[in-house]
Amino acid sequence: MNRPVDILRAQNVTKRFGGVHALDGVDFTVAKGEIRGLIGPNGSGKTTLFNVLTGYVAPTSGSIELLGRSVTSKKPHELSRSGIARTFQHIELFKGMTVLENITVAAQCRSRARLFGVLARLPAVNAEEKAFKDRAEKELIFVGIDTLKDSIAQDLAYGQQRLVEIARALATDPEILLLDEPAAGMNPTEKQTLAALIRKIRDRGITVILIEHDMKMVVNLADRITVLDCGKKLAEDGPREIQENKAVIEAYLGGNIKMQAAESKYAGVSAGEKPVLSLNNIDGCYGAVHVLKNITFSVARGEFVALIGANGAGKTTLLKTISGMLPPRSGSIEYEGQRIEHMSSDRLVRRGLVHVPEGRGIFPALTVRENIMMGAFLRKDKAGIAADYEHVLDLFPRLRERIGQQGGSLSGGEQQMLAIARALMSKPKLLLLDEPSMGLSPKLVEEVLEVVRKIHEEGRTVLLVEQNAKAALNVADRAFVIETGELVLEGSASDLLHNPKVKNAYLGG
Amino acid sequence: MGFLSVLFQLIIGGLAIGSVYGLVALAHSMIWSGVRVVNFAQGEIFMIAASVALMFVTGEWGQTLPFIPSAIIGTIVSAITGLLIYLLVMRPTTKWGFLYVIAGCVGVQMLLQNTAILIWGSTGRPFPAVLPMTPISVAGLLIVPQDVFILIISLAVAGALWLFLSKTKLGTAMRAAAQNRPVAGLMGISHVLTDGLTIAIASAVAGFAGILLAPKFFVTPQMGSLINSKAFTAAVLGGFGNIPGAIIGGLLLGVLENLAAGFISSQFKDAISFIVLILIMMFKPGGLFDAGPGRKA
Amino acid sequence: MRTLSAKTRNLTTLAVILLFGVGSQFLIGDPYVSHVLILGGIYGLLAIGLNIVTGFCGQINLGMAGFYAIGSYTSAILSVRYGFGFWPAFLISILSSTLVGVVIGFPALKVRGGVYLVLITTSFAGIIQTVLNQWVGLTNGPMGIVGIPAPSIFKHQISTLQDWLVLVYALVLIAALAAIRIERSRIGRSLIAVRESETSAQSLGINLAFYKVLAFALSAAFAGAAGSLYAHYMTTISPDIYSFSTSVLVLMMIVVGGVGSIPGSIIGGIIVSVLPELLRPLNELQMIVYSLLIVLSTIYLRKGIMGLGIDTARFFRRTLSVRRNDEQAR
Repeated sequence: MNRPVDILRAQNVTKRFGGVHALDGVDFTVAKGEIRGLIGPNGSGKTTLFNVLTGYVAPTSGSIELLGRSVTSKKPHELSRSGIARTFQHIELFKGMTVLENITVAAQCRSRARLFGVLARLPAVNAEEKAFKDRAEKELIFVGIDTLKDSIAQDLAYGQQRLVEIARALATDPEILLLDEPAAGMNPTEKQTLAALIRKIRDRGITVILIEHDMKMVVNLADRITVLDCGKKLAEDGPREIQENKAVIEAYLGGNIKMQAAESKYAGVSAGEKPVLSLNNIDGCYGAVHVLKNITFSVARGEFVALIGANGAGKTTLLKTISGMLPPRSGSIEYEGQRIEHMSSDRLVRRGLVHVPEGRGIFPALTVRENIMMGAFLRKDKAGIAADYEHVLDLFPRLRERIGQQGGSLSGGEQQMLAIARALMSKPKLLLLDEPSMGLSPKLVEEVLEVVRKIHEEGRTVLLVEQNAKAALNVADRAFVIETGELVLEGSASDLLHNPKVKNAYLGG
Repeated sequence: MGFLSVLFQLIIGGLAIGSVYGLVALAHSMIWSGVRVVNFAQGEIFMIAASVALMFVTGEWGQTLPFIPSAIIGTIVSAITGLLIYLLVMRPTTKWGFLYVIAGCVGVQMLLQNTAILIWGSTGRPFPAVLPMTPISVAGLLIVPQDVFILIISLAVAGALWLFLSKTKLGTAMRAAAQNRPVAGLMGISHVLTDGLTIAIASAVAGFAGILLAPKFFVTPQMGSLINSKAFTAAVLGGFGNIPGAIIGGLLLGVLENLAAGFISSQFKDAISFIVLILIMMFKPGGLFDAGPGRKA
Repeated sequence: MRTLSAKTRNLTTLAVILLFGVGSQFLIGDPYVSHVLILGGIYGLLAIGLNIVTGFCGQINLGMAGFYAIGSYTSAILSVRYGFGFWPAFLISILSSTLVGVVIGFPALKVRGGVYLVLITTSFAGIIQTVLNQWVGLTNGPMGIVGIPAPSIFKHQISTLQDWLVLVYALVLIAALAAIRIERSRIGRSLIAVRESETSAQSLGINLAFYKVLAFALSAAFAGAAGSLYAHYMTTISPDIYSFSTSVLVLMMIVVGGVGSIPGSIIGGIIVSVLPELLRPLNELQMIVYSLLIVLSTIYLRKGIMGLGIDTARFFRRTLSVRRNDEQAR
């Protein structure tokens, strides 16, 4: 048995964007012929690592070697000529071209332009052109989509476009193939086809590195898995070992949260009382990707419900669908007895349905004061606005200190508080919060969620979407778990806190 | 006339013209930062406003009106024209790519210019000055009152706009929508409102600039084209999308041009704006006050 | 605009154009019409050039007047002042224009976004025009250059309008065939890939800088050829011809004809030349109707005349095949 050769060796890779360390001293070595999974929670640096490996982003420090040769500061087109191919999170096919033409572009990867030869129709050039087309057709057959070869790329279904993108990458004759979330938005059948294809690719001698959020898929495909968190390598091991790794579990589900699970006052909707919000068979798409599948649940008045799940599960899309930012593909949403699935955001705000978006969404060049007052844009009651303004600053004393500062200059935690303060000015009856813990230290997460709990106790209904399961389950009454667009678990928060199935929803298995 | 007084005159004159460049540049930057489109026919709005105002000042349309009501009518006409151009031409073409926006706007330019030729003829007509155009002596320096008038009024307009944008609820809402459109929607800030207001106000400002500058030069159907490239350079100088930067860029450009015309040659004047443009593009494409990467719509 | 029979369609359209261009001299014989058609052919060359850089590669170039000017003035100066024959002057014009195209390509790489590209290319053309006006020693300034000699092929002097029609459209044919050849080759594919998705193109080995500069160089080459032809045809040239309006005119040609279509370029060039003349009877309304048509065509005829043609053909093919299927089913 031959000793496995290292095909890719990245050492001590660091990438800083301003003050943020997207990658921090990551060592990443892949053996030839491996299928390597690359996973990690939101913002852990996976795509940045891909971008560094493929030359789109220059590392701040560190070195990268391909088959023993240094490729550290090479440009993307040079790297693809050296044998590294990739696909992207957002598919970018050449939309107006046919499938065959798309792949032919890839097949000519290492050829030279040869303007004179092209114009003079030299036989050597013509022979090359034929060779490109033949290569393209071969890859189409390999991937299994040769029937589509004359279709225009943009007319294809999403899953088919993904396959075209993979065939295109293969046509560059790579040694390594980097796949960035190839299974996003695919249905189970498509995912099986994809998994079989990836194995076929490996059998052909190509090393595969795979970023994926579908844990079951990664666990079944990968030989080894590397886990990143906050830009650092957290663990690197076989799939089963990773699933049991304590640090990994904590990174995904959250740990170190010192809060007491509150006594749940509710056990779901009591008989006779109408829920304040209910979703029925909601199907949602984000662009071409079918993200939400048949979501049905309801929230009682005054409840605090959490919706937890891994990255890419569809949580943000769900909130955006509820708050009017995205229209659902099918299904209905009722709020206070009215059908709202096609209502615009501003009409919903008037009715007290307020959404604190992912990533805070504050207005960076407006001051703290102006940001807060924008929340009251639709209100006309001057006295009420002034009173609420004071109340909000009492809740968040740190904002009062920074009242004249520009929103963009606040720290992550302060921005989150600002976003919530702003939302409160809209007089919410139902407050939707999208991942308030993102990018915050554990202490700040506690602070923020404490405030959310206070807001809830003032009599509002809260729907909290979170990746950090432990933190969310510590404050909520009841929770749902969402996995790849479907609701898979439901229960009271304290029950779920101790339910091992939650871990499985995050880490497959 | 000493060197200093010549210099002073050139600078004042440059500031006056520059302030007008600045207003049109402001219109470009405002529309870009708020609605993410560029109206290449902005210069024609400038021209239409001046022509319409002239029409009322000279009584071509029957009634002779004094300067202020004529100016108001001209400004309102520019706001309406700007909105029409946006709705009919820029909205559909923006979806298809910049090429089509330019093609559409250039078509609009030709249309407006030729319509102006049809209505008012292609020869230049003088616009009666509000203040004397002859220089008067103040403390030994020669100053043209009309220039001072233009400068002061332009800065006043820019100042009023700044007040509106920073102190009023509506103005703040417009800024919010420019910074984060989808989230502004979550606050109930309708983008139909903010887009419409942005275009109307910006076009009105550009039109008013035309009325201000009209007395210094003849009102011709082609005056818009001349102003267009200067205004663009000023906007790029200040950072495309940077509203106060646009005014400063305009003032700077006006002064540079006048100094070049005075000390080198008047033909060089027009070349200055091209040279400045290329230098900025190559060394500081975000403008002189580059604050970092721009926001993506 | 790529379908199964694209090659056939391209060649058919070209044949039709040439028949029209050259055959019309026998049908109509009106010197004015011939003049307009000759100009249309020269415009067509400009439009082909613009379509390569903007249509295929997606880089907006509003400085075509600058390359056009370099072509004209190089040819004029070489033949008038140094006695060069037409063909050497023609080739050197193409060369000088191409070189400048390469030089412009580099700053164009640095800027990101359509607005900035527009500004850089416009400035370039503006500077060229200023130089033409100011450098009197070289270009004779605003007076322009007169007495540019006519070409001759194989001892036959090109003197009549008919001669010019044949010469211009023969060159247009060669240019179009070359452009189509480029379009269907690896070069064309790479250029189009750059336009459709720079990110993907890079990941497939395409060197963005190389292809963008190549696109500018090619567009300059065609414009240089057009410029040289123009100078020798009109026999006098002056700086005011090479203004921003001319660059814009070329843009109109490709929008009207069909962005990215080579036969469309020629159609667009001819239309832009012919249309104002057709509207002449309207007197004062001539330019208003002309500009109105341009605006309407930009909004409603986005794919240009070629696009309209392709859609119509597709519609008929579909209706006919449906009817055939119905009949067979009965």
